[in-house]
Amino acid sequence: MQPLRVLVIDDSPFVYKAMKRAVEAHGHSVIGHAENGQMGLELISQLKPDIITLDVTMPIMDGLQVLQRLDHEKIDKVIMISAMGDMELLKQAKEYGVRFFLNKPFQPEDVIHAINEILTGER
Amino acid sequence: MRDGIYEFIEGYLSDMFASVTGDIFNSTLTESAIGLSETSDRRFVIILGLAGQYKGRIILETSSNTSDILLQRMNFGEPVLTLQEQNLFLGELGNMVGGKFITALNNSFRGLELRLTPPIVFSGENLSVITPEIESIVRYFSTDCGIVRIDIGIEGVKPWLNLENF
Amino acid sequence: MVEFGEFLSTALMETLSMFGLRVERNSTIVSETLSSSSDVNVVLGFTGDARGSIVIALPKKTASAISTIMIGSEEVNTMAKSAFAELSNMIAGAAISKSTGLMNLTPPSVVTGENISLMISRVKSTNMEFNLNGSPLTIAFALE
Repeated sequence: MQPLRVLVIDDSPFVYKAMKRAVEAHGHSVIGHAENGQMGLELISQLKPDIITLDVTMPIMDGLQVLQRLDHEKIDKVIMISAMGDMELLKQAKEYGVRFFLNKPFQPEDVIHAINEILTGER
Repeated sequence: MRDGIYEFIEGYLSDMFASVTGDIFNSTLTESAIGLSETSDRRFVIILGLAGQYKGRIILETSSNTSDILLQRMNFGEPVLTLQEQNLFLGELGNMVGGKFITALNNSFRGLELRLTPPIVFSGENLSVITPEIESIVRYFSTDCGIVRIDIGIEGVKPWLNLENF
Repeated sequence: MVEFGEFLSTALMETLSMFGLRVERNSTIVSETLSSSSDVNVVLGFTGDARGSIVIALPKKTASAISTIMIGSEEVNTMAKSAFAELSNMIAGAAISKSTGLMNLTPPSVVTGENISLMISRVKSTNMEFNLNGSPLTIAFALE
């Protein structure tokens, strides 16, 4: 499998490191890290990642506000990350077309499983 | 006040905290009868507010020795050196514990709709945290990083008003 | 953000004046984090249409001055802390009620100690400084 380029959009350095370890252990790479949604949108446009991990709750611009500004092709690459398990927020994310969700804390294998599901969907 | 919330919290707290600590830093955990020692050592306190149908707060407290070990575990073996980074990591720990807790409560009690407010991280000596008018459930957990105190208080949830205790 | 600050500032001055305490507004500082090193801090959070935190920070001298007026003792004991919590609830509640959007406040927690460091990172915060008869008092808030 071609190594994938992953963009992490999350204001937590812990989540960024955990995601980096999970992703790099399976031969993929984290190509960027945005600490808020606004920076995330800029990096999506510049770096054109294969996979986007997106936190729900962030300062300046949150995950749902990012989704409002993405087209369907990019939303298909999104894994939404949440600590809250907020059913209402997750429901809204689903309405935007997000198919993959992870609750914090997550296991590395959960991240890889979500990435594989995204790839399977694309083939 | 909704029936059963107190019992649910009591029953769930151990499992919830164990699953978060196990996932984050691979730590085993047992409920401890021993609390934090009464010294003036530096402590860390994480406060998360709860709002929704009921109001309350979750407080996590630990000694600075324990938080150093815990932070290093969260940072995959590297020490967390700056106060700002310590704040971010501990805040995230608070978010994860709080998030798991309110997810379980919201899923079990329809319409509760509890939300977390951003975590506030304090450190200091001789720290005291009180939330007037709120009775709380306090538990100590012994991890291989040290002892962590969890204090959960929700308005209207009073142990001694539980009719099953009479 | 500016508007919420004004609501908080007005609420603080009006609430304290109910107890005969006159405060003067000094400076307003916007910073990259919300932090405090005061001896006495009252913290409240809010969620809903906006999510954030409010901190009222007092050095011991100011806390004692308020405590003397409110409960007749300068000792910052449990009763004084309850009084601070109640004051903070009134101030925050008044500001929230004037704001557009629906927001829920959490109960206030009073944190005291020595060599305190409080931080909420990564969100811009507004710190409004006041003077209570020569004693400083700060009310700060951060919106996510």
